[in-house]
Amino acid sequence: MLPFFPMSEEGQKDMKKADKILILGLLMVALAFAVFFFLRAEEGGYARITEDGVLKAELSLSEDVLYRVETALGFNIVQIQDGYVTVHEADCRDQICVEHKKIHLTGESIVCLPHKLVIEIVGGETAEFDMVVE
Amino acid sequence: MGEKNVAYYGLFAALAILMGYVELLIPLPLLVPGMKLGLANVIIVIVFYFMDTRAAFFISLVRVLLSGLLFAGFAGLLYSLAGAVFSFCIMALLKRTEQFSIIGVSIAGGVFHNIGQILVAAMVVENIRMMYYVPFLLFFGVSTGAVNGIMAKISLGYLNRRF
Repeated sequence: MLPFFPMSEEGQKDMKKADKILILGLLMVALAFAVFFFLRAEEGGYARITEDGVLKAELSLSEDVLYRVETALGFNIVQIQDGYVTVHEADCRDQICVEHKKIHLTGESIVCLPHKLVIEIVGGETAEFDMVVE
Repeated sequence: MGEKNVAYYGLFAALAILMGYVELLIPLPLLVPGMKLGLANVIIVIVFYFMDTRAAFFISLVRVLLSGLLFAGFAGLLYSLAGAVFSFCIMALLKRTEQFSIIGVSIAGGVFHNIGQILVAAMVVENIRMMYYVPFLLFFGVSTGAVNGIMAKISLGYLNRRF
């Protein structure tokens, strides 16, 4: 260690036993979550779009489409291409949904927090309806 | 509260806000919403050890309110506040047990800041699917938390020698 950056008095043993247990525990939980989602993930059948928990539309992934969602706070244009879902354009302030990577597995989702919009992939060959427009 | 403490409160609050701003300047590939370096947490952790838990609470609160109003806008404030309160409680708890080093405290703080934000986000969009991000945030939080903890430890050694 450089003399300019002296370590604190307790000395060189950086981490205690409890720290290691904590790190290991957190990583295990992360891994458990990851495995859980990975095992359940499969090619999705539909993109379900909800605003504030209310269903706005269900779009089949098998058809390429640009779908404009009008929320109470602005619009998002959802693009489906080759079975992948992206947000093509939105007028939200952070643009996180637009920059989000494309999704196609069940359980994956794109969230636009400013508009309270969630696009999630759901499985299944058939949905109850092709499209719900309110 | 002595004059020295007043100065420390102001100094550390300013540093914490500044670190939040520095963090905004560092471009980061945004793989997961809510992913942050948590540089401001370095200062909070230093305050935990250099001053006390009480000071850390108030400085953390001041930081969130001010940087929320300055940079994030009012809507972002809710997430930051939830994250800050959540991570403060965990850090205070871990520090109290005296089983954890500063690095462990920092890791827990970083991770639970993220978890708190995700919980609020899940409530806002009323969708439990937000939990999909938890594993990424945990991995990321552990690594940034460890780096932040080491930074805090090094700074603290320097501070304790000088003041």
